[in-house]
Amino acid sequence: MTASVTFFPVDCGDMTLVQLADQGGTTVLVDINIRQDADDAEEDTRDVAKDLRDRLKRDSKGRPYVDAFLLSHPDSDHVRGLERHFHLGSPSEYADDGKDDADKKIVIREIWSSPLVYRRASKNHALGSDAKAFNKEAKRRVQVNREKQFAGVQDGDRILVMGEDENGKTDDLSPILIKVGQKFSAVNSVNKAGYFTATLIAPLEKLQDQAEDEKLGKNHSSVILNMMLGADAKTPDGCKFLTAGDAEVLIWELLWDRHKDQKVNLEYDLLQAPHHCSWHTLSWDSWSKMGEKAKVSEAARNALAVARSGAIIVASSAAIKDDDKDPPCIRAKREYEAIAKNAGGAFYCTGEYPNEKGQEPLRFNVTSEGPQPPSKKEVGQKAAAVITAARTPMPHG
Amino acid sequence: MAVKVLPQAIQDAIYTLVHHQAVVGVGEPEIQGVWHLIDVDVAVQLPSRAIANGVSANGVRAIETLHLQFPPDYPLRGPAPFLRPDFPTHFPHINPHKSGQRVPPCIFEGSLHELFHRFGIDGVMDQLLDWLNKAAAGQLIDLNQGWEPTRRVGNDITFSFDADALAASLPHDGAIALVPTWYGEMGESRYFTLLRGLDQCPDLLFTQNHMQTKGGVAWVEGCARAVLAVSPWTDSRPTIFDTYKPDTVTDLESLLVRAEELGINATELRAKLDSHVYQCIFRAPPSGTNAWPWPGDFFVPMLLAVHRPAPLIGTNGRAVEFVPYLIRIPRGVAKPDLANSQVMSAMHSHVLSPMLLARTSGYGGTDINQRLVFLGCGSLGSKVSMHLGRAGFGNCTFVDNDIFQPHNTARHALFKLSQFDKAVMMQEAFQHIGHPQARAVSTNILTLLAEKKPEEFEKHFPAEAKLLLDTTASLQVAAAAISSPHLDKHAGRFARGLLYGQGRAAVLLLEGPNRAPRCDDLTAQLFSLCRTEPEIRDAIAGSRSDPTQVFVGDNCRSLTMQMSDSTVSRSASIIAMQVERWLVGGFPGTGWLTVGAASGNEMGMSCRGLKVEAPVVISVAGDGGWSIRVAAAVADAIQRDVQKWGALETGGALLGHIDLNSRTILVADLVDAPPDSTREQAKFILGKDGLEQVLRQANLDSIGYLHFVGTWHSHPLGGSHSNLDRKTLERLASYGEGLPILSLVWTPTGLICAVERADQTKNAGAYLASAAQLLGEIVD
Repeated sequence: MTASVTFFPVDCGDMTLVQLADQGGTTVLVDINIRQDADDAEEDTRDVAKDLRDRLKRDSKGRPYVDAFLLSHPDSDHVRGLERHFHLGSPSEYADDGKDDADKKIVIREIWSSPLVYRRASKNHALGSDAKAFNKEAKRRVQVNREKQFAGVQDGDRILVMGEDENGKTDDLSPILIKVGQKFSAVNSVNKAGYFTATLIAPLEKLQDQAEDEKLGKNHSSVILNMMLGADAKTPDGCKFLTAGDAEVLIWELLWDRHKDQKVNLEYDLLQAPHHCSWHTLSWDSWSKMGEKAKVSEAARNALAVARSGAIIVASSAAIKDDDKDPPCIRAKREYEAIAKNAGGAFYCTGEYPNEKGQEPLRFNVTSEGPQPPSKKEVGQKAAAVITAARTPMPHG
Repeated sequence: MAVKVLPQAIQDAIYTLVHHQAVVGVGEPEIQGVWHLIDVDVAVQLPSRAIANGVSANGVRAIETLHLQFPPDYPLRGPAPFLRPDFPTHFPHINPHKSGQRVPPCIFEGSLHELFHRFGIDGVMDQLLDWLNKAAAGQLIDLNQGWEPTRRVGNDITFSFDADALAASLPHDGAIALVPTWYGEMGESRYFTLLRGLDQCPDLLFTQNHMQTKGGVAWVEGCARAVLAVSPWTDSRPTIFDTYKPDTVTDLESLLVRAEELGINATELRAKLDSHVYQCIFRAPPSGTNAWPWPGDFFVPMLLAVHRPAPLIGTNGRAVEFVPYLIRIPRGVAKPDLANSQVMSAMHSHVLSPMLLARTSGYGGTDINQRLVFLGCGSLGSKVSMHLGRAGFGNCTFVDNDIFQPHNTARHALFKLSQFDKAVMMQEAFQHIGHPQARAVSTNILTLLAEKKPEEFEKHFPAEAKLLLDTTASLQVAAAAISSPHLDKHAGRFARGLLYGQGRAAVLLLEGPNRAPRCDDLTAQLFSLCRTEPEIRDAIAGSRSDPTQVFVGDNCRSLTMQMSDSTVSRSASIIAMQVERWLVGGFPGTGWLTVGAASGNEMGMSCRGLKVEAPVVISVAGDGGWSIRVAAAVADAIQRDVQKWGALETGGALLGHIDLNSRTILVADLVDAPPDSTREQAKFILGKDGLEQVLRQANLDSIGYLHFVGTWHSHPLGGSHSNLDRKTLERLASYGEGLPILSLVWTPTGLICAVERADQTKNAGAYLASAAQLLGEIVD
């Protein structure tokens, strides 16, 4: 298999599928944002659920599945569509075997979840239904693991806990706990070293100072992973993919402080621009209020600029306009473009690929020399472009 | 000087090229004779870390120049694309070319002209860009999918051989082999077939006969020896060559270089070739005063074999690649000399074999040696078995003692040539399509099934046979199969395929393991299905008004059965497809019923499959002994009803089919107790409201196959039939015109059954109605 990272056009939200180069083509899905419109055949919104399903494998019972699903944080634009499209609950309760493939819920063999991120998020705003359902499922899986004492846990019951929770709540979970700073290569309990090694960068541990810790929550504390993806059996360092949910400026400042002498932890070939190209990732100032006077946080920018040669930065957002909107923010785009240009690389936006009117999943191949953007194709593009003319009236005299 | 105006089609092509988003520059067209040559600069998507260098680690540049050659008949034919002459060639998917010339990429698995006509210049460019990007990524091939064989562009030289067999017989010591070969030549086309045995080729090393076809076209045929070379093994393992190299062989010298690259000792190979040419001359027949011993050119077919790191794409796990060449020495005045030879690349074509058929059919990974027995070689049987034979399943026996008659030509898969015995005709046809092991038994199927001597049965229906498929549509054969003691002991599965309704319904019955369910159970289930599936019922009934004809099935032997060949084929293909799926994916662990039905004048059939579990079989002594076979679905329904009513007795009416010959009652369905039934702890009264109508309707809906055969009721506390039960049964039976009537009782330890037959004095027509009237009186 060719390893790849695919970003789905989900407007301002994240949904990214990582496929490994191992024989089985192991899949790691990072966040989902499947809007109701996208499920409605009558609407123009890209049917990203179909796009995702087309790329997933089917198990021996014909059920679509992902090997692992990472929820960076429980905001709705990162977990929307979970209940509609994914099986939640014990694998023995799967009820869709008799249905058409397109109607079968997707099995998550292993969940990657952070209770600390959940705790911080729920202090700041009410969680949506999908987020609650995810939390319930994560808790169920932790319970199964505890009951089985972490031995003989099956597909669909597995979970990895990303980062220690407060007050020693995850101390008894060490077999399924990934601590911040730790590297891991197991996906769904299978060692994928050589094809996949990830370093857990965040959530940052609970800070002693209550007020400071609360600020982390307000900065969209998220799971941040730096994944090293192998290009083939011989090339473990094909592509370093840094994905960071919605983590904002304070988090990046703290991370810079922590890693500036060990930049390899933040180094990337492929960066998913945090928080859909939000200015708040790079600055304490408000873009809409201060405009061009808003200042960049040097430390945060430094943390996001450890780009390897030719690095690619992807904003998972709507098309970025030159306006005061944030996210996505034009000023943030300019910063990322500058970072990418400095590295000799490129900046992409999912809402503009291949063009704003005809969005498609954006897939990067993982090669032995880094990620490779997709081919520029013409067939079908012109006809599709002509059709979009029908979105506006065509007056005739 | 006159400015030459470009043809409109070329102008259009340039316009399209300029507007392709990956194109960064289009050069001035160069006109070479009637060809137009256009250079196009394209931006390659380099991997991110290669961008700074402007070139990928494997040598693909950020900007590559494509050289497109537009033929004189463009746009009838599309442009031929080439890369720069120094483009790295260690990639797969590069067409053969001369070293130092422009590199021709193979960008599409089919014809490039077809791609061009489907998607235009943009499609060709997209495919080229995709190829270049994959080359830059080092991902032109995924070894998980297999090794891409050395590219060959279409030419007129074909080598035909069984590559799997040849790979298995390769020497380990690097010895160069000479393989007997037949060859033919007509015009520019040359065809070489490597022969398996020396006996097929005369002792002469090289012969040549010049002939003429009836139409006066000259052709040449003869025998030759193909030279086969492979690198020696090291440490008891084959030497693996995992570097791609495009074919740049154009003469003997470059052929020897190529051989050396593949681990073959080129000096030894050259010596072997020299000695072979010498031997051929030495042993050639006298040719008068001419130094050249043959009427035409001299040939040495050449095969280089090489072990690859992964199985070749499109093979069944074969990791040995054969690269064929033809060494040709044109006829001259002096003796043949390799110094004057030409070397041409050749194509490999597979010899006809079951594996070739299986692979072409998509069944490459399947065990095609599963043994099959076809009972009946009529229209349906011939078509079903030909489908299976063409799919690679040819380890089979044909059993039929019928002969081919003129009217059979209308519907049979074959037509009469030299044979007239249908089984032998099928065997011969199978041998022609690559199944030499096919057998024919021109014996009466009935006698074989009922054969007193089991060794006859075992001989023709060997124990390893996976499937015995009866397509005779003969009820005699069906009856013989049901009662065959040999079949009972056979480990294979017995199946019956037949048509109904003048071909509107295709039915395939597969008996379960250990013959549970049997074909008679499945047939009863088929007609039970008709009760709830009007489409199937209508298709089975066809246009016949007399249901007695329906059950016979459509027997194509009959001259009066009017049905077109295409109609039979429609059903045959469905039956064959189902059998193929079983052979590929394994037989179901239960019995199975596949029904295809066409509604009205529809051309298509809708198919459905039904799992049929083993029936509950009860032997009843008395009255000469009866076998009661209660369908699993009926037993389950009884169980559910019993559970529903708990401590109360419950019951209902049974629908079934009686086979007096085998003294079997097949209970296939049931009718719920009418609303006026009474359920008490020690008593069940089967009511009568509407029951007669329901029973009549059930009889009609099952096309008369199922009828009222008795009652069932429960004894929650256990115990066998009470005196009252027996009395009721007797009274019921008295309406039965001598038909056996049964009384089935559910007890906590299982079903028990009693059968009763009365003397045969009553009026047959009154049977159903009277029995239903009587039901109100049943008490216990």
